[in-house]
Amino acid sequence: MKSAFGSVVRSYILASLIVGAFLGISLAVLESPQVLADAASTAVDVGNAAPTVANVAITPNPIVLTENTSTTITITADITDANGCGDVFTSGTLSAVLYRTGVSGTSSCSNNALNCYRNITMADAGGTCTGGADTSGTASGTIKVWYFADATDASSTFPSEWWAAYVLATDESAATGNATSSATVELNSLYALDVTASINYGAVPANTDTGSTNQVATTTNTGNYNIDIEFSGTNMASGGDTLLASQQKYGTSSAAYASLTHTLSTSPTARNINVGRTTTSTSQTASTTYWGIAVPGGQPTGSYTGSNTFTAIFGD
Amino acid sequence: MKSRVWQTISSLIFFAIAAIGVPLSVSAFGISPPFIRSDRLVPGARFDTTIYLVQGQPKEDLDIKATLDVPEKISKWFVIDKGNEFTIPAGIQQFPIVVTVQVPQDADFGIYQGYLRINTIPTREAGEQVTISVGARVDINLTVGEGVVADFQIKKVEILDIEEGSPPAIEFVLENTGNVPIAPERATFDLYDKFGDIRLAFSQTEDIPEVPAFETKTITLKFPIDIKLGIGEYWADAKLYRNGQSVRELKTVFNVVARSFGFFEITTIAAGLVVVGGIAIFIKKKYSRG
Repeated sequence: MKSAFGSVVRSYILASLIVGAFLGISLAVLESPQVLADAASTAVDVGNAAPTVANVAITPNPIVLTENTSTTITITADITDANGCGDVFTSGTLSAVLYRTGVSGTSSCSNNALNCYRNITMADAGGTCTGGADTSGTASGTIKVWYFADATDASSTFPSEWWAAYVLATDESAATGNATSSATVELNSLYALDVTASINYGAVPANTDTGSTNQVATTTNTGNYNIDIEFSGTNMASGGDTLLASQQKYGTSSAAYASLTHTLSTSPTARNINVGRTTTSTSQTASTTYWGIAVPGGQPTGSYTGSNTFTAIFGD
Repeated sequence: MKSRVWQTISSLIFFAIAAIGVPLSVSAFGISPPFIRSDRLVPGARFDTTIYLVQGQPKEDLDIKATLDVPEKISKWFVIDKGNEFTIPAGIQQFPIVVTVQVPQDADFGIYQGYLRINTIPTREAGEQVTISVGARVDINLTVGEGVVADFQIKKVEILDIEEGSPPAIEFVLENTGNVPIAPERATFDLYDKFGDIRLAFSQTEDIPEVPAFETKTITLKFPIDIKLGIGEYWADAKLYRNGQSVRELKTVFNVVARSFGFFEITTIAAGLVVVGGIAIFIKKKYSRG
């Protein structure tokens, strides 16, 4: 009796466990999220990012010009484009403007050899943009600045200004970025002159002068500022004999010897000659001086030679 | 009568020079800038100024003479690095000379003015009677006083590319325009990811070397950070401060590149191998005997 009952109870318990386990498993399966393996397509539109320009620099600093010619100035800038630097360097454009900071329009100024140099082509400097995933590179461009360009140093007409460079980067989608140099780059004053020919008086007898026959010396301003001139000369010599510098006279107009305005001195003497600065590359400003000499009586014969000095000084 | 005529003729003949020839050598020359100027000198101060001697067509060597024209009491203050007579070699369009002004410790306060004339020494061509020397005059204007002037200009800032494992660094050029040593009081470095969106680190330093009065120097600063940068591009924002204000800022991209093994590293590795090899041989021999 007891064993039969126990057997029934054991069977009941076993069945309950089996049913309970079945129910538990079933609930767990029904409650849990179902994961199905399947193929899903994805898509994203990558937008265009505008390029950025930074670290714009001008070399050399300060700018030093060379008389009577142009001087190469270099502009560099760091270019970055999140779509790849090739978006600018290969498929876009780079340009720069070099200008005096006080010029009308500043970076939008009109081309003027005195103060604004536009459309400077920039390109990759030495393969710094390697393409592909590379997002940055260095751009470089050069421009020849004329010798008469506006100075901005303390001696100049524009002492509170300087020269700046503006760089514009445009990518393939015509998005742009730009930056302007931040360093104070001075363009130095340049006092320079070009004096053509020597002075040859020819044969002048003793106790006479050159009369109304003048020798001409032309002085051209080849710098970027108005100049006056200091004149001086050495005594002329022939062996041990001397012909004083003061025997030479000069002036800014043709005249007979006695009427020439100034007497040459061995000490530098400033004269208000006013050789102005040129403003274009197609013409120059020059001034002419007229020279004569007197040979005193009793002057020993000989071939006399000497040297006259023309020194550029600050002009009004 | 006859002797007088003969005298005139002989004077005429013998005072002749070669026939007037064609216009000879062009004399062209310039200087930039044409001034030596300082209003911030104090007794004992020293400053250098560079003047460029320029020629558009430097076809030949050009002899130069520099002549100082200043009051006697300051004549010994000036030294030209090339001397008072020198030659500019052919082919050089811009030839720099450095003029050093050394104010004595016992200099009187005052304003001192004068000139430095720089002229060519021409060569005489055949037939030239009067050669032309050209030049330009440098105006000198110096003020010696007792006021302390502390001022500078940052001429250039650059964020340097670095090797993997090295701290970020910047390089800047400082021109001391005052009469006492000076430096920025602080420099900061903000590091961002390659897109400039996520700030990765910040570092700053106040350990900046001073630049002596009237000098211009290039200074490199490093900014140690706690994270290790992998190879790639990063944005950085560097600032230099004075009196609590940022006086110069640069925000741009820099690169971290693969570390290169230099002479020191190769030498160290080789020395290590030699030591290890030596120890191994020693041990082997010792136990071989045993």
